[in-house]
Amino acid sequence: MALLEIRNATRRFGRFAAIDGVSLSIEAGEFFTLLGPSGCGKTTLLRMIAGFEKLDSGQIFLDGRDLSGIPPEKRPVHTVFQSYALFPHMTAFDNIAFPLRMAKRPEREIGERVLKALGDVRLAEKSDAYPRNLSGGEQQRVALARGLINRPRLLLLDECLAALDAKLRVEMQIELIDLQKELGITFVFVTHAQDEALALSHRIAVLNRGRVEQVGEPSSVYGSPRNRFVADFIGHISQIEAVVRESAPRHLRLEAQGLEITAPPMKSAVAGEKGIFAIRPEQVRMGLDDITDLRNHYRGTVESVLYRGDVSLYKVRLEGGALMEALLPNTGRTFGVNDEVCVGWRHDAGMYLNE
Amino acid sequence: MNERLEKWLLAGAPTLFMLALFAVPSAIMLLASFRYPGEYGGLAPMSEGRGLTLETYRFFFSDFIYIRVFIKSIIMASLTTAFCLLLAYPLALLMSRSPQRRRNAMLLLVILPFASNFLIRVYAWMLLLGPQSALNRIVNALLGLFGFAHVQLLFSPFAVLVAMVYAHLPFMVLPLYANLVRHDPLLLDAAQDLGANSWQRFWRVTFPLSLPGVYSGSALVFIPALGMFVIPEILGGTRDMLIGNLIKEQFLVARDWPFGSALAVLLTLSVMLIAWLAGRPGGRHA
Repeated sequence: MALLEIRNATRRFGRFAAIDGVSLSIEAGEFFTLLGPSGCGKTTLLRMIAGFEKLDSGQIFLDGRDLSGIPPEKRPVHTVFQSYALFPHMTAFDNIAFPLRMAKRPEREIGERVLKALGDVRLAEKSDAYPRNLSGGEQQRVALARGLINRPRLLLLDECLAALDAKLRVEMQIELIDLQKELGITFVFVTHAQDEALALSHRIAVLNRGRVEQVGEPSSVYGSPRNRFVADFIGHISQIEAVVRESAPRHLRLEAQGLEITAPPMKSAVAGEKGIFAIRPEQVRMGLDDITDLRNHYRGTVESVLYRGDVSLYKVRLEGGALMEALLPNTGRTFGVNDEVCVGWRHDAGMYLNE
Repeated sequence: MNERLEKWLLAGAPTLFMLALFAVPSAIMLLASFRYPGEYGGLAPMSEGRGLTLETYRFFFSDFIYIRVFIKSIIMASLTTAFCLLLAYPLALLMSRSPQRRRNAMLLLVILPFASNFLIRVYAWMLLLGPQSALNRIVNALLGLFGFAHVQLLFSPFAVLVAMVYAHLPFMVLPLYANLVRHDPLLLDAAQDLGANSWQRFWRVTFPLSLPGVYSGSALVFIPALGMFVIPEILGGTRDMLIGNLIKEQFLVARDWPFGSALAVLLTLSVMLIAWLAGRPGGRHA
């Protein structure tokens, strides 16, 4: 039995369904991420798990117990809010002690546990500081310690890294992974940042318009997106409209804007149907001469170069007019705008999507 | 340089206003309290070898009757403040958690009584509490039912307290509301999420965060309530004299200006003392 089981959860606001028949099961000890653009319903779903939002239909089970009718304060689920929601009239110590005091733990035990938690998040010195005197990263760590101190069955994290600057964010990401591994508490993390989701999660659920588009490990949602939305939302991807010419068990032959493309097979593809050929920029190779060792190779012209230091992202206009992106390390040969090049990719790279 | 001049010009007018109408009269009053009373009222001239004296203050402390008026006034002002707080807090809380449009309507209702004359509103309480009033009759009917003797509501400390609370209530509601309306509702969600029930959410989050509002509201009620003389004069009995009445009497009836001034100085000092006690570290957690 999964730790958290969401069955067919639905929440409507008027005619608009914020959450539309979502089913998910999250295992104990998992770092699970709800990923999606703003307005996709991920925060609503989080508030449903916490108990702040009711379900119009469906059920949520925690440890096999139906949570309906159980108010937020009685659920063994704690939340780290986007804006942290630290109590401004309490010191870091008192903020972290709050859940233990609500649980009526003896003061001595509270003292010991809070001091240890402060040490764990490297804030031992800041015990008596008020939130307004803490930096963003420190407030974040107090909020995290406060959410974890009473060892909830589930910790919900609502875009809680969004307010930090880029460098601190990476630091906090590493800290989050370590903390989760050490404590073994199940994390449900909400974010719209796909790089963050890929870096942190054991599994990701991609949400769009209140529905789950795909659930899987980071490598599977990135490597084999189920549909165009997932492919487009996670990472960079080139897309070309394509028609299926031949659907064989071991490969797919596509015609896309005058190009003949051999792509990995797809069971549901039928000869004659229209769809999309999509490929990640890092799967594309590029050179001045023909790349004849690859089944798919075409001539094109470099239209733009985005230099990123370690890598460059090239936009290449292919002979049939299609636009293809290629991500190449700057250690090898580099190209300039208007260079006549040849691009190619393996026959098992890229994918055909008809959804 | 120019900016400094601008600042002085801007601050100059209000500073002069305060000096002329507050500091100078206070100084005159302080001085008057150390002078001798004139033969036919007012102050005795300084020229006749009768300079300054502590006699008036000695007189005040020599008779417990005056100190008792002070204590009674402080108790009355404290009760007024306490009842105002008890009544105003739920109202301010309700207002701050209402939708914006209803909030403004409620705010208007709180301020509306100021649109009518203060004296008229106090006299209205005479009718409401008078012997022929429905309230007085109901109270006495109930008391009669349980075999108690009849009471008169009007001209009693009760009438004074009711009217004092009524008159000062808006001064408690407004600062409390201004504080409560600024609270981040997310803090209550966070508290609930971390295991606090509604009672704990109020006492652990809402109330401590509202303390600055409680303090300023209490000051706005307590200080004028301590010096109030109109309400006890109209609604109180002959024995319900407060400091305000005593001071007024010294100036207008007894014509003992030094004693009236001394009473006013002592009133100011007690307000300052109480404010200092409340503001001490440990006396306040804001």
